[in-house]
Amino acid sequence: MCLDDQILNTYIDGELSEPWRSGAEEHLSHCKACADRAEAISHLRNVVRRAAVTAEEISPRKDRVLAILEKNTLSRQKKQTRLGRIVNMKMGHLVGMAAAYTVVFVGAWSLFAGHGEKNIPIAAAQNAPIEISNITPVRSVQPERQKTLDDFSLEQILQYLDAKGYNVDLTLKGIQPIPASGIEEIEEIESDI
Amino acid sequence: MELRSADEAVFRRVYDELFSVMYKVAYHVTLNADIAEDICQDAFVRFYDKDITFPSMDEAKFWLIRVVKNLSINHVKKKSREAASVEKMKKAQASNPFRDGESQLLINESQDAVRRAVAALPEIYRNVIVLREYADLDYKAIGRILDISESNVKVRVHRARKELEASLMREV
Ligand SMILES: [Zn+2]
Repeated sequence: MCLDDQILNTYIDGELSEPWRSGAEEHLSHCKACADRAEAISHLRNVVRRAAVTAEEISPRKDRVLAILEKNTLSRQKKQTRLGRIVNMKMGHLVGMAAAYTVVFVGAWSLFAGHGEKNIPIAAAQNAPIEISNITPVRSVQPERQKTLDDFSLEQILQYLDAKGYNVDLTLKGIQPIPASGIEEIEEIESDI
Repeated sequence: MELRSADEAVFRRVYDELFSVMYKVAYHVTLNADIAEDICQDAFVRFYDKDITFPSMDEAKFWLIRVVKNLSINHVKKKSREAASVEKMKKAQASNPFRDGESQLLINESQDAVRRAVAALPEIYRNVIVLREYADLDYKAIGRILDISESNVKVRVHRARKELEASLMREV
């Protein structure tokens, strides 16, 4: 009996298991019609494979994306939460609303030390998250600097910390942030039937 | 050997090894180089941020390809919704692409035509053919990524090639 296209495709992909594989090979060795059809399918398969996006097309993009990741992702010493990223993106419009509900965790280790920047007095705990409400503002060394954390908006503080390369996790309580165009849902998309 | 995605050394190794295959999947589904690049970047950011420990490189690969495939399909769906009305008009105006005269059936082998034919396949066929031919995955791996049975993969590969063959046939 001749081999149908389904069997031939499976055979050509090397996915036909024994004993069907040997049976197919035996048939192909003496049936010209099936051998020709196998040849045509195999040719189609090669044509499709040859149309693959080439290494030359890929290479510059691989380099560019890595550079972006190095700058924006790998440089973060500690990963930012997804929420943190959304908040960052929507900063301007979320921050005002969120401020009242926000607890800032500062992964602070010798905060500001060695930067010659002592104008913003934030107490630093060693490697421990600190809650803003529990921070005791520290007097600046310079007498003319009497500002405390309360003198700065949340956004200013975050921008400052970000500019200094510190990691800040922002946690919103009681607010549903606007999802980033539903992009997280896509992983659950069913691709089937 | 376990791979922790947020470990920078691991991340770099995975990136180096898998960018190419991920880009191929994204490109052949979306047929848009810039979008494919964005999708790969997005997938790697997720990979890093989620800080997942994978039991092997293969598992990391399946995870990343699944994310890329979903992002790509998502993009295509969004785009096709937007373009649906425009396409309708174009189709109505399109003339018969075939010339009259002798009709020797051959496959159009031009790279561009093949890429477009693959990207134009119905989603369930496009997924299997892209993973088979461009990600070079076996039926078992394809089944795992698409969450379908191996025999289902088998059937879809066959039907996908049949559709490709029909759409690439041309009269010369
Ligand atoms: Zn035969």
